[in-house]
Amino acid sequence: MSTAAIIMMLIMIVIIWGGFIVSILRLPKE
Amino acid sequence: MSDSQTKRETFASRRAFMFAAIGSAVGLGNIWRFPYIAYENGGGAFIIPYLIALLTAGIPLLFLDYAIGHRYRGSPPLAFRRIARWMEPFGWWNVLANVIICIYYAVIIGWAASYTYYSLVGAWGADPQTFFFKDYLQMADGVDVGFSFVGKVLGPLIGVWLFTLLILSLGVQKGVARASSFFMPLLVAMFLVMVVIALTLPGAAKGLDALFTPDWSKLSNPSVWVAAYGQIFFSLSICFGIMITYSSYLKPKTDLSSTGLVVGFANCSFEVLAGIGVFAALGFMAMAAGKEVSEVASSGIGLAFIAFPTIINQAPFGPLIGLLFFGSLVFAGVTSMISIVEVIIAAVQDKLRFGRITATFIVCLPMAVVSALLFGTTTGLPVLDVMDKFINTYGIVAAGFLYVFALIVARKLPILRNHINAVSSFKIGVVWYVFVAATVGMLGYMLFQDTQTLLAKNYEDYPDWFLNRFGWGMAVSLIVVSLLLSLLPWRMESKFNPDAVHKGDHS
Repeated sequence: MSTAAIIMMLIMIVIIWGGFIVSILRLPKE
Repeated sequence: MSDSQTKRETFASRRAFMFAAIGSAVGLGNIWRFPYIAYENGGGAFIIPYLIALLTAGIPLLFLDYAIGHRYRGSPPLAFRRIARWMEPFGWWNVLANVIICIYYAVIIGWAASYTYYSLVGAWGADPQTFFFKDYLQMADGVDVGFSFVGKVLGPLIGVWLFTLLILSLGVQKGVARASSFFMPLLVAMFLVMVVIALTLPGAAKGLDALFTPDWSKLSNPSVWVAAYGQIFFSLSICFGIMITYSSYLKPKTDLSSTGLVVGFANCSFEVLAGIGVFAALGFMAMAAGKEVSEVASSGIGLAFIAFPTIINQAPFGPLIGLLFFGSLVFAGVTSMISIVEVIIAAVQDKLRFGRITATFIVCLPMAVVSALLFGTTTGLPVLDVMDKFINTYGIVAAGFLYVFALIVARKLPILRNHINAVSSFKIGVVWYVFVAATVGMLGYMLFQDTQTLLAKNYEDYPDWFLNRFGWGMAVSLIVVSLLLSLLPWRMESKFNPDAVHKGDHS
């Protein structure tokens, strides 16, 4: 894999999956 | 408290709702559409329009749908009627679009179910394309509508409808929520295993390289941005009426915006996972055939029923990959199918005050019959293709464009924003109005562009009579029938009107 592809894959994973994890952690108690 | 509030079913918890909403959003498109859209529209660079579309259109419209359903506590026709009587046809337009979608969606889930089994026995032999079109679908030559049934297609199709009927007859919590809470974790686990296996295949890096290498020049092309907005729009099930219906089953004090963020990001997380798995497998396929990834990359039916069987034929653990891939398609499809049919059942229940089981049978049985007559035959595929194209444009995009525009014109956005902020910890600012208005512009552009293309040339070169019947005719009928349905009287209509009760008090 090229360096550019690896970097873009990591950016996509960090932003999207990171956003998912943060949104779960920020959920207030029901 | 009004009658409608006390009797309406509810999800037992926010968690149950989230599983149902994520189950609805994660569908076939996440697995077989997103990877190719990302690859075709800039690869790694696609993250920019994709993220912007998610944050400026996907999540704002998700909030809008949640607010409509939660505040007005009804299926789309009832919720829109409670906003303003003249808006009721928009709700029926949503409902009828779901009728069309579920009658063809069921047959695709049936194909995937068949292929889950075929993966284990390698039923397609050395030529998956011939097997799919000739042996499995037994496609008739030319475009026609006939009633030569194909047992291998009809059987699973009926099975899908019976399963849907069973789940939905159990109700919102015992049926919809429980099924989603079971199938969604199972889907994620199965797909994760499939991705891990795909990543170990020789050539996987070549596939990922093709998917993620950024082509920044593509970002100056407007069609790439339209593709990103289209992907987010269809993938999140916004403007389908599904999220309006599901949020109407939430308890009054439920955090809408925080929940919406989880659902939005969960859906996109699954798409990224699907992209990695699908392109790792396509990289293997390209390497095994001595070709470039661009020569084997595909989407939709071609990816699932032709490319993947080819990969399964050649890969180590091929039958296991097939079981996990097609099983994932079935589970992703079933949870979405349940949400699509639920919109129709909820509307029938609201309008006619039928009980759950009666409404489920009244809705599911006729649709299952139509589904079997149109798609359980040798002539189903072209009908499916045309209906899918026209319903997405004139059932979803057009309805979404008009109802969001109508809400702006009727000055209902401030009420809905206040409602979200009154129940949510994550407060939305006035920038939400800008995003919603901008999304209307994008939907209008998509509608205009699609209409221009469809008018310039017969879609996929289908004959006029065929397009006039299943494309244009179907699209116009949807609007006419929506207007007629909104003229029918409501049975025991409740006087619930949140705008009157809470006028000037949204705290």
